[in-house]
Amino acid sequence: MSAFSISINSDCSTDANFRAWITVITNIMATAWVQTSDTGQINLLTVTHPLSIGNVQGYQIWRMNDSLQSTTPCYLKLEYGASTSSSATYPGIWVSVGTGTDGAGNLTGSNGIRIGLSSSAGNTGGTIKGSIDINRVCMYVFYGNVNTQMLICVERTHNTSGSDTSTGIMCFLNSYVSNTTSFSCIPSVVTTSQAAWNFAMPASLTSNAWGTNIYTFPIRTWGQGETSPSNQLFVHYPSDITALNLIPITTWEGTTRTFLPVGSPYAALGYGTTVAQQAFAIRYE
Amino acid sequence: MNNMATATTSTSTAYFTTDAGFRTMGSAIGTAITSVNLIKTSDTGQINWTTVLHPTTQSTVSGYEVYRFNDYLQSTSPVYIKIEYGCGSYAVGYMGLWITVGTGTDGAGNLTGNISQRVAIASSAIDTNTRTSYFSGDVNRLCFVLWPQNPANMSSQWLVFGIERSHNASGVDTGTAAHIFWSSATSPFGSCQYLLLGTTTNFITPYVSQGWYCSIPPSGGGSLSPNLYSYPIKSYNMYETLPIFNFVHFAGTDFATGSTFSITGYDSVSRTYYVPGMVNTNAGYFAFTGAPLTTALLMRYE
Repeated sequence: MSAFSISINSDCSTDANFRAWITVITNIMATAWVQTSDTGQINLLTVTHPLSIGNVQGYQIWRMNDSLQSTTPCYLKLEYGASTSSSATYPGIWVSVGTGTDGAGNLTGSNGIRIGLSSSAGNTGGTIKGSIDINRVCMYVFYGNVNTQMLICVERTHNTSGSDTSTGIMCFLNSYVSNTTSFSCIPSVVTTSQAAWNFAMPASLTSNAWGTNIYTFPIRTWGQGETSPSNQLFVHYPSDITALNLIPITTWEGTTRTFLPVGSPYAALGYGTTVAQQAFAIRYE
Repeated sequence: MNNMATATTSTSTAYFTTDAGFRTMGSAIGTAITSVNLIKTSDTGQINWTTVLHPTTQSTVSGYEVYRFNDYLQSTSPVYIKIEYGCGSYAVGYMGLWITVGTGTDGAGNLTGNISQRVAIASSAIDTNTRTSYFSGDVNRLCFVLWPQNPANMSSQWLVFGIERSHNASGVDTGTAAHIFWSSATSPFGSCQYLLLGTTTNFITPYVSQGWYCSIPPSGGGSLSPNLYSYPIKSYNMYETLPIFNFVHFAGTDFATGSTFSITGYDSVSRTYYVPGMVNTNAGYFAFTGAPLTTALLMRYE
C-alpha cells in the first residue's frame, strides 16, 4: 500500500492537458490495480479533449488484485470527459463498480449505478492525494479547490476484525457538482445509490475531543441494511483536526491507520444532518 | 438466555381519573417487569399499589419502585432501575414515568454510584380504549412499549424505554456500560444515554443524546429479496458504540404492525422482534430535517 500526493491540473482545454490528468490517475491506479484487457479503452496517446459539456471521451476498467478477486471480483470503470457544469474545459469523471465485465467495457453486476463527478472550475492547479492498495483505492482528485476536487473511494466490506469480506464493495464519492453519494455493490443483490454517506454525529456537539483523544465518526453505506464501516474515510468536526496534518486513527478492531484530514468543511456529507459542518479524512498509507 | 420472556398488559390508555385507575395502570407495569425476570429490590418506601392515591396535579410523582438486573455481571457491574409513577407534564390524568438508572442503591430508594439522567416519559393524548402494552426482558435487559396502538394518537401516546448492557464484538454482554433509550410524546425525538458502570470515569456524565443514534437511507427501504433489512441503533459516548439489541429501526413500509420477525444481528445471532405499532422515534439525528422514509421501531420480543 502507498500514499500519493501528485500535482494535477484540472483542465481539459487542450488534448495535452486532458491527457495529462488522466495519465496521472492511470499511473496511480496501475501501482496496485490491474487494467483489464477490455476492448475500446481510452488511448492516452490519441484521445482528444472534450468539446462539449458532459462529453465522455473514453474509459478505463480496473480490477482489484487481491485474493478475493477470483471469488468476489471487483471492477472499477472510470470514464473521462468534460464536466456537466458550465464549461467543457472543466474535468468530469464517471464512476461505476461491478462484479464483472463483458470484455468490451461494459460492467456486469453494477445495478446500473453510474455516478458522475464534475468540476465547476478549471486550471486551478492542485494535487491528487490519497492511497491505494491491491484491494482499495481512495483518491481525492484535483484537491485544493472545493470547486474542482472529486473524491473516489472504493473498498471491500469488512468483518468485525477489519478484514475484507466477500459480501460486497463499498463506494463513496463526492464532488462540488454531484455533492455526496455512496453505494454498495453486492453480488446478485439489487442496490441503489444514496445521496449521502451513512454516518451519525451528535447534533449537540461542535467538537469531539475528550481527554487526550479526538474521536472521529465511521462512515458506511447501505446495502443489505447498513454496511460495515469504511477503512478509508472518517468524518470529524472541522475544528477538531487541522487539515493536512497526518493523524493516526484507531478503528473498532484495534488497528491504527494513518489518515490525511482534507479540510474543506461541508454542510451535508451525511443525509439530512443537523450538524452545521463536517469534514473528512482520507486514508493515507 | 433461557429465561428471557415477554409480557403484555392491557389497560385504559395512559389516562386515569381515579385511585383505582392509577393503581391498575401502574401495578400492571411493575408486574410485567418482574415477569420478564428483573428483580424488585427490598428498598424501603416503595409504592404500595393498594393504598397509593392518584396524582391530581401535573408533574407529580406518587411513588417509586426499584428493580435490578439478575445476571452474572450484577455483582461486579450492578444496574439498578428506579421507576417513579405519577402524572406527566402534559395534563392532569395523563400517565408519566420518571426512570433513573444507577449502579447502586442506599436501600431507601436513592440510587448511588454512577447515575443516569432522570428520564421523563409521558403521554399527551387521551384514549379511553383498552390498549395493549408490550414488555420483553431477561435477567440482563428490559424493554417496553406502552400503549402504541392508537392510530388516532400514534405520535402522542406511546412510552418507550429500554435498557441493556453493552456488548462486545461477539454480542456478549460486557460490564462496561448500560445502554438506556427512551422516547415519548414529551421526548419526541427519542433520547439515549450510555451510562458507564463500575468505577470507570465517565467523560460525559450524564451525557444525553437527543435522537437515537441510527442512520436510515434517504430513499428506498430495507427490502432486498428474499430478505428485509432493518437498521441498527447505537449509543454515543465519545464514539459510537456497537449496536443495541432491544430495538432496531426499519423503513415503515417494510413491516406491518403486529408482525413478528427474526432478525440476525451483527453477532450472527437471530433474535425475535415485534412491531408494536408505527412508533416513529425519528431514527436519530438524520431525520430532524425531514426523512424521506417513514421509519418505525421494532422491539425485541422474546
